Amino acid sequence: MYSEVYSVTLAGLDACIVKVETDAGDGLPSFEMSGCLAAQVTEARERVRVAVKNSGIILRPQKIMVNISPADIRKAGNGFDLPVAAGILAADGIIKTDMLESSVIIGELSLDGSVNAVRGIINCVAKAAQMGFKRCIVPLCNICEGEHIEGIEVLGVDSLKQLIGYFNGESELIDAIDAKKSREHDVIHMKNETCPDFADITGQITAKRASLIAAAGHHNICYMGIPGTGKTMMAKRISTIMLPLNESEKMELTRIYSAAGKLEGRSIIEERPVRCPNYNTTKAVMLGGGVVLSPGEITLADKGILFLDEFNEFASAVIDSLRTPLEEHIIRIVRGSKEYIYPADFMLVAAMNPCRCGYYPDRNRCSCTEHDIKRYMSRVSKPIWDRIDICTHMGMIDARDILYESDADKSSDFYTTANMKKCVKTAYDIQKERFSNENIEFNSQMNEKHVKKYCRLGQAEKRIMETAFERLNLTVRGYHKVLKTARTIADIEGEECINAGHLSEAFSYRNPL
Amino acid sequence: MKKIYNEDYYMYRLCNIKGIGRASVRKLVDFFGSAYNVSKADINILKKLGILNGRQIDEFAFSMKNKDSIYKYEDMIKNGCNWISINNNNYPERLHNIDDAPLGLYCRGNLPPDDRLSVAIIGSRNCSSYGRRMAYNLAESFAADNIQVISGLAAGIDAAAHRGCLASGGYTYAVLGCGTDVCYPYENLDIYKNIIKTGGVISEYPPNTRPDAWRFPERNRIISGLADIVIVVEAAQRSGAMITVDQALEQNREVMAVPGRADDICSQGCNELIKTGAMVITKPEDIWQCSAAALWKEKNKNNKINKHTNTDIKALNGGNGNKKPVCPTVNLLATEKKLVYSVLCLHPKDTDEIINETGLNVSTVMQTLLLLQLEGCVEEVAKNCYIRIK
Repeated sequence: MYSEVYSVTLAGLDACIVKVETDAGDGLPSFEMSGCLAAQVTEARERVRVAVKNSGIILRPQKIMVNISPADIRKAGNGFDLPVAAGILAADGIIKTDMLESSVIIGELSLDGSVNAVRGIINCVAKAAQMGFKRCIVPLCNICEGEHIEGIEVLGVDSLKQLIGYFNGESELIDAIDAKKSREHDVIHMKNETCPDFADITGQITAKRASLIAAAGHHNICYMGIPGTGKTMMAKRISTIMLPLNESEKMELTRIYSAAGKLEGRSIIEERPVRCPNYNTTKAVMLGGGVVLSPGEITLADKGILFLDEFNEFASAVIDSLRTPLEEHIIRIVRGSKEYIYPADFMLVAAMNPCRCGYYPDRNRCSCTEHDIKRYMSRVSKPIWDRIDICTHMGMIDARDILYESDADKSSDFYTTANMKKCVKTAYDIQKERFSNENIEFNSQMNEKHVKKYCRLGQAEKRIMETAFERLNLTVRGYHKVLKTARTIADIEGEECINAGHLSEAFSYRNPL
Repeated sequence: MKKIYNEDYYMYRLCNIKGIGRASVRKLVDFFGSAYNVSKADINILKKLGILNGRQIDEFAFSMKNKDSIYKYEDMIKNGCNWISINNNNYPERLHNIDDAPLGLYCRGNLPPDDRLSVAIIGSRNCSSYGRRMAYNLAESFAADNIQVISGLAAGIDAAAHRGCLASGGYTYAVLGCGTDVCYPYENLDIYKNIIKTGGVISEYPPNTRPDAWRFPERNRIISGLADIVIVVEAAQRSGAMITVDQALEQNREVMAVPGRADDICSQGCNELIKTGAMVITKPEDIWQCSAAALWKEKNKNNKINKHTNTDIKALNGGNGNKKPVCPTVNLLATEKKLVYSVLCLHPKDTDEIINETGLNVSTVMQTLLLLQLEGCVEEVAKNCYIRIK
């Protein structure tokens, strides 16, 4: 007998519908699979055989041939066990075939016949809905990912037995919408988590101000200073002052995290991600790749923050590979003659020490030679520095500042998350209005033309620029960067024109190279 | 090839025989009267003298027969590196007075003339912004007073001293611990190139010699030897600069030290020197307290020719100190500027400290700092760390 079952395979963030064709007939008893399969898919043979047996079904000895078409797309991932099992059972006449052609089945089987989680469910369900399938059967533990897709019935299955029962009309499967209702109680508890606040950081007014500007204009930022001054705390808090995600951004992020298998029980990503890869990270982890193609850190940090602590301890090849994504906000990965495009619209937050020991320019503690300091700094190449608009120093905090900190500390009072959020909102609104006719969103994305159009300078400001060119060795690229930053500072203050104050503040955030 | 070679060449040849050191050559030259006589000396006499051992005599005989050294010598001269032997009239008078004087000097550019006051500025390579600034300022004003500055072209204090001197168009001389054609450290290539134009790069070692660590203490004796006064700007307790000071004292040179804060590791050596009686120098004029400087000033009261030439050079270079770019918004911010400027010193302070000390807000402080920077009153030594430079 012959049967056809539909399933989905991931291709980057997109998915692709595949057909699992099964033929069971006379011949020497065997089980063959074909159709450009990765190792984990061909392994399905043994898993399916045992899972079917342990579900209490005895297959007749016959020649079973499974082909997954189209044959020119490489199938990888663990989601084919369930469709293959369904195909064999249908070919053997154990389950009815009438509902099979309007269903998409995804799932991994355990030897005992239960169904395990698979990554990328939301992408697969979306594709199935788009292709006009009536229902999608997914592992029960992934069911929450299906609840945001409209126009398709998403059903969760826990074991092979349940699936057989469903197709034979003997039992029902749990629907995604029902599952959501029963889950809603838990969600309330999770929202009570306390949000980190900028006020938790002692001192560091300059760095807080710089963070505010960076968040307001989506400028890439670099903190320089000794370890233990709150660089990581600062980076974690930047995402809290950025505007909340809109629906399409949330959906995009959820698709990414689903494809990476990193949803961890969440049905949708609500907050801007903060990714902190370790400095031993390889290029594949950073950009995306792996045996089964999965999104890299830069894609996981999409719409959020990529925090690279000890920035210049990263392999220089890894840092340099960020050049294109920083410019284009996407990453292209070529795999087996096919190009996969992942979004990578992240804000780079880097932190580094000024020298090996970290104490320069305090010569009482730093004994690094000038040459060493220069070399340490130059581990980050110039093109990367050119893409970092804001660079700021974080100095040592006096222990007394923490010990005797009073609530009435006037100067740092302003820099709380709530206040900063308001500033960012002001700047966002201005930018939104300004760029309504352009295809950019933030000041940091302005090109030369935009800078010319939106960053006009007055006579006094021009003179400052002139002297700066002369005395501070400013380059043309540096000039544009300063103007972009100055634009954001003016936006935060809600001012139409860039004045001398904005300009000179922007100057002090130049990078050190 | 018929060409008469002078004493310089013979000395060069003697100094470049493998396995024969400075001390042996000196004994030979003393015995025979000149390097020429040594070269023509009979091997049997040399054997009897007992200055050289058997192997050294073989090497000596071999190199006297070998014509290679002539070509090497001529190539070297062609490449712009001169050799002045101890018997040459141009050999610096000051070096004659020291023990273990170099038998000759390789030199690109000129040797420091004897009639100009000569000051060595020395200090550590890992210096603070304070030390760098002090060295620069001292050298800058010495150059304006027609005092020549000797140093070692190393990173840190040495480089700052050379830079300061060059900035006001003065004469500065670098004594290297490697060949004169080797710029070590390479970062100072700009200084190296500029020094050759007016001053000179001097070394005791033949061209192509690598900068090995053991050569540096040895060359330090030449730095102090070429100077009348040695100024230590910043030196740790145990450092190359302190070795130079010991040698300077042995050579009967006057030693001055720039004081530092009591707890600064970089200045420990200087403070220790002051404790043991070195003269304190906090501003360029303090130099006239030295007897050597006072004597020189007295001598030069009558002929001021040299000084004029120097001011000419200064005028040519645009006189860095005189022309300040004028910043447009000076008046608007006068009070904030004074406030910010007043909290700055030669030890770097970061913006947070400045904000705390002045009580101004972030953007005002940043704005003021930029203006001060543009006026050349403040320098950013590391990211957002500032010092006052005027």
